[in-house]
Amino acid sequence: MQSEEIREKLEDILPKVSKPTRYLGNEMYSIDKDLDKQQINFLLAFPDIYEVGMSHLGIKILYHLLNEEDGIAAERVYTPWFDLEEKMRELGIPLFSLESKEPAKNFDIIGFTLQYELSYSNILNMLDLANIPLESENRTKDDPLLIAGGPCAANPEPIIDFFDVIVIGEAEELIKEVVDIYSQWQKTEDGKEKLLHQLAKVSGIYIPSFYDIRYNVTKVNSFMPKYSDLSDSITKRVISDLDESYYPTQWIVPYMDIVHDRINLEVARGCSRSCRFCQAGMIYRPVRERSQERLEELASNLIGKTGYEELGLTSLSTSDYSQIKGLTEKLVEDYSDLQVGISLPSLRAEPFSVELGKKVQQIKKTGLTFAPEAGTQRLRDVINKGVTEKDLIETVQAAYDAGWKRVKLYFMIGLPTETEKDLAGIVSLAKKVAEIGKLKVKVSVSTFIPKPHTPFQWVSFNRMEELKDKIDYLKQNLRGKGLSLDWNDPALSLLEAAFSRGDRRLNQVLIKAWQLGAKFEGWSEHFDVSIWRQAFKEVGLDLEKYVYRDFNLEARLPWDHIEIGVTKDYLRREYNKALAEEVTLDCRSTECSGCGVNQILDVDNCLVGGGSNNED
Amino acid sequence: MKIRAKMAKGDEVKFISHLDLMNTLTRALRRARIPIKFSQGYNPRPAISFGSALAVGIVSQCEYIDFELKTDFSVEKFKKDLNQELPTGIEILKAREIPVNTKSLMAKINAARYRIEMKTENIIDENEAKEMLADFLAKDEIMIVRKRRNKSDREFNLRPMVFELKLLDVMEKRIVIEALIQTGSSGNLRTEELVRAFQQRYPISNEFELTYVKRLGLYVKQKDKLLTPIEVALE
Ligand code: SF4
Repeated sequence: MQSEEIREKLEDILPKVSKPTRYLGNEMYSIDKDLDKQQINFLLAFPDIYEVGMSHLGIKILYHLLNEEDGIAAERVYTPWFDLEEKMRELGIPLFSLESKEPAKNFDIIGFTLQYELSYSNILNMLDLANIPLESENRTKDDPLLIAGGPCAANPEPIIDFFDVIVIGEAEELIKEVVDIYSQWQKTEDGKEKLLHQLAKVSGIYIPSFYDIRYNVTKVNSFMPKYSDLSDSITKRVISDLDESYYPTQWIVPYMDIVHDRINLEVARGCSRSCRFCQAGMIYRPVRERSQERLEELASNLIGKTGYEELGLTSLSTSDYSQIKGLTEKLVEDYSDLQVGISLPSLRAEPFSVELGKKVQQIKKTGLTFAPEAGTQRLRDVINKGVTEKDLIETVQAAYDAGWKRVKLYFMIGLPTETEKDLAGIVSLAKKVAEIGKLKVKVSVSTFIPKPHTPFQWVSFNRMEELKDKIDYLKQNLRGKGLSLDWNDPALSLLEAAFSRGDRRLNQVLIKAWQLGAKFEGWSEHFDVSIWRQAFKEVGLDLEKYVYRDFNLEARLPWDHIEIGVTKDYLRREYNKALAEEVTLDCRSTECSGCGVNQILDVDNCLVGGGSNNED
Repeated sequence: MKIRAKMAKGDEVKFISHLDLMNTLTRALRRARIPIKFSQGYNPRPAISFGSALAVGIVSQCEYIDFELKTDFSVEKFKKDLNQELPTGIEILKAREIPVNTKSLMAKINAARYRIEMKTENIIDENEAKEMLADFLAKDEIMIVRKRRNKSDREFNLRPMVFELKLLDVMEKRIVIEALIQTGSSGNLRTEELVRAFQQRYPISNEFELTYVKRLGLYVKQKDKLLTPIEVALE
């Protein structure tokens, strides 16, 4: 089916599906290039619905970066919602790009972003809807080249059968190299193997089919690169200077409400706080800040071009940006006339955050959110969350005095070494906070999931029964005036735990689960853990046993060939310090903690405000 | 100052909701640096008010919108600058300054003219179509059930809400009619309900599928006189 026919059929279908605006593709600043006239057509795919995918900064950057090049057209595709998928299957409409309504199969390259493990089943569903063979070994030179990147690529093993190429690290740095190599190859008669071999030489590119990895029950048995010129680890690609890196000066303004409907101004990348459960804190190292000057310039461009009413200053921990005060003041001053609200989505629990919050007032209506993560100081030391009860209480008091009425507190259950005392600590901390004036306190509890490349990568996931008991305990005890509790289904976390520390055997589980009807796992109303248990069983594994298998501190781990920058020695050290309840300080303000990033990636922390730059 | 504008909402954007359209306009105004007035408080809203919300899926050549500006601004420039910032499918067709104390559009608009296209699997007989409309107009009472969200269904007589019906065209399996019907806060008939009334009563119509609806005009109807919202404001 060609794009013309797809367009015609959509005319009839769209009035009958929910939110047809998701599929229009003609938003302001979306591109309108003639695909037939481009050297390379690149499809950027996000395995979730439009509202979620459109909120993602990485895709925005790549979309505009690629489209600014002559000879390249980049278009978008998101997962069609159930109702459209049903109609597409009924009428034989293949997965199509939003802009040109071009079948996905006709693109040269398709790049998927891996933001969360629970979206993996959607990837398979999208490939199937596109009539593209799921497994890369079944695809020919005529099929698109399939690439994946994003945070979950830190352990890509569970989904490598479906991709030809995996990008480790920051794609805006290498995407054009990939496209160049591809378009050179396209002009030759060479087979796909040749293309992949050339790509394998680009730093940050992992070609999974070139590595033969075998497992016994719990560990990697053998690891063999296919060619002698391949390195046995793939090092993450990073940008050394954020100011010099590409950032769009305009971007697509959607018609419909999306999850984060605002301009995202990324003030910094990376975080050096070293919370031991936090994968983002490890895999995005080192910290690199944008200069205030550059941020002001970007803000001016983006507000002028998009007309958005909100500008969010984003980063893993925005209040750590060394020029945050000056920047916030300047932006508020420059744009309050235009009624543009400034927002600070991720603040630390410290009185300074309230001071910032007061400046931007926008937060007032949404309430403040803080993440103490654990209920007792002992456990906060174990996980290295450098927030004390005193910090939190003082911060909340300041917020209350400044007029805030609502506070949200994030906690995790199932953390290593957690005891009943720690749970009781959550309850008492929340109650203390609620006692400050007449604050409404919402406690939000999620389940700890051990993630690759963190000091807790060896630690076990909590037993399901225990997690359920813990939630029951919190439900019973977190009652009273102003308190409310919100938690997520531990079964979802169980699946996420299986995939985040998964290995190659999961590729077949994923196919099975998808065949059994798994999709939109991140949407709890569509999640059915029994499908997954069944799929594991059919492949000869057991979901629970698989999650609870032992990871030995000395053994080779399934993701050990992915070099994220922090050394395994450092992670082991941090793991031991955790058990000893010893904290590690932020390397920005004190000494280098020796994580290895600056040697391995040859990039230092780069703070625009001068701060210590731990080398020299 | 106040500006009343007439705007088209075309095919490209027919699926965007009323709220989406509001956001799109607000963002375009900001891009065009038009000094629109904002409400006070934590959630400032721009002083834009629509004459009548358009149902999703319908295109229109006659949406009327009032804009309140903080300072004086050339109406010509308003139209030109805003059009430059609006996405394809949305266009300001006319803009006029109106007295600041002009009553809101919402309160006055009470009639809308639509072009309604329907298709069927069978070849349509033109005479039969004409008879259908004539018979419909000759009736005093035509009851229809309205489904309401979170409320029980309501049955009402739609005949008094239909002012004019005209057959515009019959093309094989397609029929085009024009209808002037009641709209607004005193009573609002939906085109979908009108079509449903045909389907329920006339054999020729029961296979009809509504394919294309376009709003052609919004009016203030005073007895037999039809005034456009701009005429009303400048009267
Ligand atoms: S502050 Fe801690 S939890 Fe937050 S991003 Fe940094 S390391 Fe992760």
